[in-house]
Amino acid sequence: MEKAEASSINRYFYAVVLYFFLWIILTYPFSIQEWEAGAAIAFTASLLSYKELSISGLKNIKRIGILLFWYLPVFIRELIKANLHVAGLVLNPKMPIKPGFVKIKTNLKSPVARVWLANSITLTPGTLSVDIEGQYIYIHWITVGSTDVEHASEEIAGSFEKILEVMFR
Amino acid sequence: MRIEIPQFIWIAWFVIVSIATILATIRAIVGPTNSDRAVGLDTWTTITTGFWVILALYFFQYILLSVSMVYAILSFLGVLAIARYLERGL
Amino acid sequence: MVDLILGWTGVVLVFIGVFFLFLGALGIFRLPDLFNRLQAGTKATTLGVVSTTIGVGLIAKGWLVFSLALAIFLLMTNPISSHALGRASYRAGVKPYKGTNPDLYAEKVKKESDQK
Repeated sequence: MEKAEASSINRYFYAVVLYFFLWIILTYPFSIQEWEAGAAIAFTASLLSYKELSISGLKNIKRIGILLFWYLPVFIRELIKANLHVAGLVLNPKMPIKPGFVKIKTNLKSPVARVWLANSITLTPGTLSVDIEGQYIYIHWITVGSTDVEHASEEIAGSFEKILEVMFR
Repeated sequence: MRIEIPQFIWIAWFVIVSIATILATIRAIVGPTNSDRAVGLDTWTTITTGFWVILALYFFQYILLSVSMVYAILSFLGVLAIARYLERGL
Repeated sequence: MVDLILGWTGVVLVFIGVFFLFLGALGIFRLPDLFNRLQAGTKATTLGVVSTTIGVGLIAKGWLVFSLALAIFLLMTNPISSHALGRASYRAGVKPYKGTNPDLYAEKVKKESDQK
């Protein structure tokens, strides 16, 4: 278990904000009665689960901002590229695949950042993260480019690692 | 309120999604290993989530969108449970 | 007028989504081994379902908020389930396709099973 960065009250209020926002989204046609019920439920539910929800509390709201305005455009571009790649592969009668398992090295410190990196890698062209072990991520690569750890890291994780490093500072 | 969508567009959507579902089902039946069946099931549930969303539009019921949300959550948990089972047994 | 433009953009998005759902299923059907299938299955169906959902949100007035929430949920959970399946099936002893080269993951799994 990792040591918490923020105080309990901070984490508690982060949980309240997140749950209340989620409640508003899910009961979309806005009405004041729904909001009152949502506030009551958010305060109660956060009491039960704020310890499991986050370790850095309200700082996460800044991270969500970076996520929406910087990470998401890059991510969507990569997702579309990945899909065109898959489409080309599947529709090609010969299926030119050359699969392999490679491992890459990441410099990210926080475990949450590593999970995000692994998730992003799964949705980028031709790669699927299979396992994490400390600094190394094992990846199934459908058309292997290079088997060298450094080289593969740059090619696969380069664009996301910079963003995530800023995000989880 | 929604725009008028011609009949042939609905038919095209439903036919393509049905073919996709059938292909995933064949993989889920044929195998050859249990893990392959689990992969087929995972794809199948994702396709079905998309199908629910289109059905919600077809019947124009907002509540069906919530149904697809619940379906997505349950299928995610189900696939995680299957993966756990494959790795070390129940 | 704006409704009409948004609506037809939505129709195009649903078409793209449905097409990628089909491609994902075709990939599942055609590719030679489990990990390649998992790749095609995850990527194509994720884009497919997200695009379908956003398209439906654009077609029907007032659905966009909920459909964006659904799309974000799917984007976050789909890679996790495929990762879990890939890892579990490698450890359950599924052999990769014979052309798989290199296989650096095999060493780690072997080392771990020796330790037990």
